Amino acid sequence: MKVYIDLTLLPSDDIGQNFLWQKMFQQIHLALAELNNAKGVQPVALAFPGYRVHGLGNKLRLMAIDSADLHALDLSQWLDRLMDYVHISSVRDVPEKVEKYVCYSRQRSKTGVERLARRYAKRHNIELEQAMAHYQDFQPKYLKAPFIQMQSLSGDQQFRLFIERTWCAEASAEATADFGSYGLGKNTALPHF
Amino acid sequence: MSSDYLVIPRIKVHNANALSSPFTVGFPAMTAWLGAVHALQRKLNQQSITAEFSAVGVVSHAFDLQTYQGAGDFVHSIIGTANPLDKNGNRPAFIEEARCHLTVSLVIEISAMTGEQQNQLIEGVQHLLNARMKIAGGDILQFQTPFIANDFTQFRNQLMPGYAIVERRDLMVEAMEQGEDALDALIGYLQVENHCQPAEVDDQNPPDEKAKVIWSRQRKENAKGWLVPIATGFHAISPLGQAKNQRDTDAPHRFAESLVTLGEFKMPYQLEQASDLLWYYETDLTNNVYLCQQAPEADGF
Amino acid sequence: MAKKENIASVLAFEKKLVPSDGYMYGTCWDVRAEQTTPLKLQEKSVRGTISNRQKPAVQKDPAKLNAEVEKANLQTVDACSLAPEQDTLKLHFTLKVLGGICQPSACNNAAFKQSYAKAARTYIEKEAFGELARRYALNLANARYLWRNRVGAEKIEVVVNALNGEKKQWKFDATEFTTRHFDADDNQVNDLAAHMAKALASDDDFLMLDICCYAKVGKAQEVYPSEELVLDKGKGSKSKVLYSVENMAAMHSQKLGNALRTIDTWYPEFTDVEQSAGPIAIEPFGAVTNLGRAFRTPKEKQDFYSLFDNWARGEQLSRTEDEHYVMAVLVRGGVFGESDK
Repeated sequence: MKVYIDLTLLPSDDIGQNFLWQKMFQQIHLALAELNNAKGVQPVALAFPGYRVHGLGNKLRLMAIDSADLHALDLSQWLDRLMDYVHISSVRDVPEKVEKYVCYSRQRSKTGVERLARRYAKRHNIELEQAMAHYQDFQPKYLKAPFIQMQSLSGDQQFRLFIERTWCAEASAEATADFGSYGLGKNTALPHF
Repeated sequence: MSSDYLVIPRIKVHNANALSSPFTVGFPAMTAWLGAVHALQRKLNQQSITAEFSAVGVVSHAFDLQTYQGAGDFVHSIIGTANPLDKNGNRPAFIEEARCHLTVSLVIEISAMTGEQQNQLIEGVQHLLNARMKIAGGDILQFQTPFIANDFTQFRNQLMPGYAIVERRDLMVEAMEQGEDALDALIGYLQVENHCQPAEVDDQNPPDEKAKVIWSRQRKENAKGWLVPIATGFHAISPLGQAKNQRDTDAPHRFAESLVTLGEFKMPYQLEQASDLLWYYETDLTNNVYLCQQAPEADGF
Repeated sequence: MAKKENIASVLAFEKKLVPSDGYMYGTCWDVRAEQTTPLKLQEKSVRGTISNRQKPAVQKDPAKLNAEVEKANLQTVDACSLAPEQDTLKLHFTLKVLGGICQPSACNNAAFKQSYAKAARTYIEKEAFGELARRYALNLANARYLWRNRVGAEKIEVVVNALNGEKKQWKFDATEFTTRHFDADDNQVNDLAAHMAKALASDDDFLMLDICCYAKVGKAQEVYPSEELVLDKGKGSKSKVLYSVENMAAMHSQKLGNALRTIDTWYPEFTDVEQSAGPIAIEPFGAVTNLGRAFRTPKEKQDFYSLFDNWARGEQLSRTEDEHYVMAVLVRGGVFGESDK
């Protein structure tokens, strides 16, 4: 990763950080999806420099190899109606010496027995009842990672986008990276600074 | 002496003090209403508008007490207001303040005046209600144009629908004459008793735990009407003197406790004359009592 | 140091900006002025997470913490949203602007009252409430009082009508006015400000404004009325109670007032990029509840009392901004009596 933009949330009375994450991320997701559509691949990765056990902090970092990709995102357009609540930095260079690398990925919750059973049934080509039986002792696992409350674009379904952070020893091969419309990649280490 | 009445219809008061006495929450105290009207008179007098407001009637059209009762809750809780943080950024202690929003009409007894004086008065009242007045600690958001009338039946309909607060001290007197303690007497009239008795009990159907019961509610025999406790004044508990940090250095100070009695909300159409509605200040220095009350014998002039 | 005979132990000011509650309606942007329906609260059940801080005993024991965190934590809450066909929120309230700032509503020291009135008159002669009124007017124009409903709104229109005196109307596109600073110089805003300043500077005049604000937030979107502060809820399980008046979702008058007086950009850390909270509401200690911080502390002599005590006794403040701040606290109103110890 060579260049980045920092978005800083500006919470105030009544308008808290989580609420702003929700509003801002919805727009970022749209921006990334559009870039994905245009290029067939989505080269911008998201990082959360303020990541803690209990929250994502007040900064979202968008990183790319080519600064043209960050410009192509046209963030000021997507965040036009949020400019009073989010500060957008200019495109900056990633420091040359970075000591730590990090990977942010989406964590899926394993709480819905039925959803798991359907997948199991499909994978093993068995009846749903059998699959349900397989999960009869299943204890739902509630995730504890920080999340962003999301609204699906198709309808008014709400879901939580859990974000997991893992530390990596060094940067991984970057050329092939495709981060999808959430800007998250399981196997891509990003410089942490 | 013939009297005229200044009617200020439908005053909308926001966040008024509903803690009418140390132990009652509800309709603001009579002292608040008479006090507001007296303050209005003093402000008018300052502007050289001659007016003497001798008595006040209060008709409630809407009353919205800021309390909350969740599903299954037995009692209501007071809805608080968030106060700003202190100098260290900590939340200060909560002080429960019962508030209410309400719409009232005020009927004020005035002495007869000329047409020109009347116009001046109405104009002055409107300006002061907008620009300078609060009522019962609440903000005045709006009101209809005040008018002056001299016949009660003329404006009675304009007080409808609504409930005039009238004094029912007679009930308290009656109960206390029978030896009841004041607080017992007050609560005695307000409490609603629920009774239950088993239904269809006879020899074949002895009462058991699962037998049907019939519930009935009842109030004290003569407790008819919409009775409420109402704070009407103060009883002094210390001699006149000076106190440290008193609010007005020019007037003597004394400590006092609230006087609470019974009132009744009555539809104005049930009242026959203005005096049935009006409250006056009464000071009884031998008994150290500062009171708002209605004329004991409301039989007209 | 204040002389002992010059201390007002009872001192109170009534607020000079008096908003009503804000009533919430749903509508569609194209017919916003003609067709509106009152918004009602709905009850819904949600599965919350346990994210509040746990007791130390629980925190230290991973098994216990897991057990706590994995409790389903079912809650009932109030919510409010636009109808499926509606895309616009209408917020309606009135605002009364009052004069008479030179008169405290209660003051038990004649000498203090006199010196205060003189200081206030000097301020009015010099500033005529121009800067404060301009900021209040900008907060009407930028629709800050929508609070969370403002975040991300596609279009916002504000229509202000004067109900007394000269019948005037002002219209604003709130998206053109930022909430981050007060640098805007706009003719409409300046005109509204001039009317407000005149009332504030008067001895006993008033200005009554009617404000309709329309925010296009999107079809069927959730909107945010005020939350009620119920300290000792009974056994009822509702964890969020929203405010409604006569069955209509509403915002507290206090909340609207707080937004209108969010004009303090004069506290020390405002210009510090890392520490700044942007414009904050005028409060005696510059407190911001959400951040749990007071930005004006007596230690730095930037709080209201430090500034007011000297100013009201005839001393000059070093900055005009401090005078603006002191007067804005008085416009806010409150009980400011001093201890005589």
